[in-house]
Amino acid sequence: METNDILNLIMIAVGLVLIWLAIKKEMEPTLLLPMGFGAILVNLPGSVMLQDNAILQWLYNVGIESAEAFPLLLFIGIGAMIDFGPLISKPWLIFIGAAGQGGIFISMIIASALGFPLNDAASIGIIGAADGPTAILVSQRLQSRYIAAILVVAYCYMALVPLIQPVVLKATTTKKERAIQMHYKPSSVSKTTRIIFPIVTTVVCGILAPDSASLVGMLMFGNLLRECGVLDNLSRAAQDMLSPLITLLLGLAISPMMKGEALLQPATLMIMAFGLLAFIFDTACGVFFLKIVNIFLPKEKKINPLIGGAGISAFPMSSRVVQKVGIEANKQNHLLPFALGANVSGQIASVLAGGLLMSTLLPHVESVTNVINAFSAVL
Amino acid sequence: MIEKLDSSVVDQLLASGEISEAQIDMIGEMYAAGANSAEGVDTAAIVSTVLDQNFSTADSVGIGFSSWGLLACALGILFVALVILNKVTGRKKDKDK
Repeated sequence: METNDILNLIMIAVGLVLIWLAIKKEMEPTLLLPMGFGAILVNLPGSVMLQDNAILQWLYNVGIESAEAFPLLLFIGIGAMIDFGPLISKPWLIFIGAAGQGGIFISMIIASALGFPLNDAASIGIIGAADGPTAILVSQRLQSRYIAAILVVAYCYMALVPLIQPVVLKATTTKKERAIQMHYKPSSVSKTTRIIFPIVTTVVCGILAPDSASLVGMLMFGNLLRECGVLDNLSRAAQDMLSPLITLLLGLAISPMMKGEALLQPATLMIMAFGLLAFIFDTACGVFFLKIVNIFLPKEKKINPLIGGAGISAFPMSSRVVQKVGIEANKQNHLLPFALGANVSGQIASVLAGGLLMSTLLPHVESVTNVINAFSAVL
Repeated sequence: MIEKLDSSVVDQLLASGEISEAQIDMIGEMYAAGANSAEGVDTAAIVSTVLDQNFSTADSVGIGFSSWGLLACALGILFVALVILNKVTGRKKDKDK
């Protein structure tokens, strides 16, 4: 048996584990199930799934490689699912999203210091945002060598939010801090505000980080569908049908990258470690940001720092985790409305962070691909 | 390898300022080696090699923190926009009452 056959066998076992996690543990089943099944398909002996005309390779070429259609379309569904009300009524929560993306940049710097080229380091850092579609887009556009590992790791960590985040939240806060009670005064958000918000956000983000325009645009378009009030059927279809269907296709489209010899490299282990680091830093940065803010606030206005942990993109899982950890410390705690606001700001911030990194690095990547194209024409 | 390209093409490639003549030559070598091998041209590996040459760890620190700062600024602008939006629509609601 050759080495590649052994690697393919390992990947078939990985595929079975993913299917088991999806069915038995109900961890991101719409994604892990097709990913697991696809991993088995592409690693079968003599598999034809990676030939140009094979369905899985075609899904990858069309849905991810050529125009990143799947991650972008998925954002329409995500946008339609998100209620930005908690953020609109408490705009200060938006800064938690900014703080919460610290893990992306810190992990990028560490990965770069340890020898990863900047395009790979940036793609690895994005794992910390717990935002699968953004991770796909950034690693694809920046031509990372580790797209497969980054995608698999990003989605696995997204599924592991309920396991990883409570540990980080408890490690970075004291019981007294976790018990800080927040008083939520519900305030209604007008329909006009809800409609204007996605448009303003798209314009601001599109001007400041043009490379984030496609991601923010699709996210906010989905939200506009939800809030406009005249396309309720389409909004429901985006939430209930488009989103799971595209996730399923995305899972299958990723599978050509799960070929044993491509994925099972020492670098994959490094990426797993960095991804975890980025994830931990992202959560911790949000928490520490609120701890610093608390220094300047009077005693009765202190903010529960757990809310900072929700400043990532995993919506609404992260908010639920914050609420659960908060209740464990103080049964009267009701952090969910604040955590939801921080969580949706984390969604916008992670997309923007990806766009900003692309704005900086894409010109360099494009100049290299231009040279490659020039040589391909003459050699 | 660079001599295989037309001089106007080379000028165009150099105009971006993000790549040097030596790097164009190196990319040509890597492209030719890939094209003649069974594995084919590994574009991602070429991109990584060039970016590795162009950016040091100090650059990544600069890019990391400046991007983080820009992100905070962008969200700050959104914060201002939201506050104004809430004020305007809040005033409208009061008038309606």
